[in-house]
Amino acid sequence: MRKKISRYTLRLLLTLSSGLFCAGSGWSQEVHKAVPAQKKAEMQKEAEEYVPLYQGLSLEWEIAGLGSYLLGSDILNSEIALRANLKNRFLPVVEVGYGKADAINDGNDLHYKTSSPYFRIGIDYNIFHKKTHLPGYIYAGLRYGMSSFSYDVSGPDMADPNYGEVNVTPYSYSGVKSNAKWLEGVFGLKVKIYKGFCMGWSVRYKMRMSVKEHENSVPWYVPGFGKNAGSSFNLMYNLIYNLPF
Amino acid sequence: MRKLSAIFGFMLLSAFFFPACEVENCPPNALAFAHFSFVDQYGRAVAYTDTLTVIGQIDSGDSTINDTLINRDTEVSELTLPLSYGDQTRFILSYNGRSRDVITVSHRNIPYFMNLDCGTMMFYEVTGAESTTRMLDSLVITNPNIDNNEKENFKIYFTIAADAE
Repeated sequence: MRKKISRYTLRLLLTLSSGLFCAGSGWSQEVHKAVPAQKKAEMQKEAEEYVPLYQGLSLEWEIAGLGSYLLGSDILNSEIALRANLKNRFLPVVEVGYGKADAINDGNDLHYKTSSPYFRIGIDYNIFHKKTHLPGYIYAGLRYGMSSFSYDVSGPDMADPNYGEVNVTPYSYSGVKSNAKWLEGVFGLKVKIYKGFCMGWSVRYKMRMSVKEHENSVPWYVPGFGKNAGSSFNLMYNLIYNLPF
Repeated sequence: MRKLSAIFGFMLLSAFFFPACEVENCPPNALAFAHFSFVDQYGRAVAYTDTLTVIGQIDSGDSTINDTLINRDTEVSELTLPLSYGDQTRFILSYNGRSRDVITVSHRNIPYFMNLDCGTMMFYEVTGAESTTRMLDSLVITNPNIDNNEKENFKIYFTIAADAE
């Protein structure tokens, strides 16, 4: 069954991707003239060696976070990215996203709420830059992320457990300002689907560099980073459009 | 290549079902205690070998609330005592029922949220401390921040006679 699925996926990818190298990203179909074999080989080698610097721009939309939210998650995370292709090898990228969390723990009635944009900048390296015959490529890269946000956190009144619960302290803080910075290691894939449209996955390992804490709380969720921990692991799914310029 | 496409398919499904994976880190101790160490006049750790009882006490309106925190313990060299949610907590140290000292700790309470799953906890900042000196010699604040890091906050000095060492 797995073999059948993988065979079908491969066929689908190859069928959809065949003839789609005209998507304005440096690949183009040419009319071939009859030339001697040796000269042809030399021309091919020259063509392979010379790759123009600018290979196009692509716009990406991450939808796994949105899908997770629609499936019932308390957290919404979605982002768009603008990626340049330089020499079909270096892929600088700017990512802008929006993260939102509105979560209540039913066990202890704690409530945490935040929503804010976030930004990332980074670069990927096309590992398959020499395999231009493939309908896509695998890449690895780094990101530097940052977010400035405020959050509300509240919970039940805190009753003194040791001295007869006579002193009760309310717990509710609104508009607590914070910011965070983090690094991400990225490993991903991009595959052409139809004309300028592609899709891709990426796996991200995030390492927190800093997060501003408040005297009475530490952020539970950081937009763009995820739940506040020393590190986190994310899977992302992107819909991509290669811009026609 | 066939394996590669199977991996990609798996990743697609995973992206929807497991978009993020983080580890919740709840501290093992959700309560903050004041830590007292017994030392002699030279700063060396000592233990009170006889029975020691510690009662926590707060004032609430016209009444006083007492809570026995340590009952007739022996060989005590340090104390781990809870502060109240008021602004002052007294600890009555009763030495074998014969003599007693009263330590009064003034504190600022800091409600703290670490994690949605871990709940809230109360941290403290010690703003002052005083004591009687029937058995103990003096009280020193070594770290005014009381949280769940279990660091020493106070040193209680006793004068130990040379022949008792």
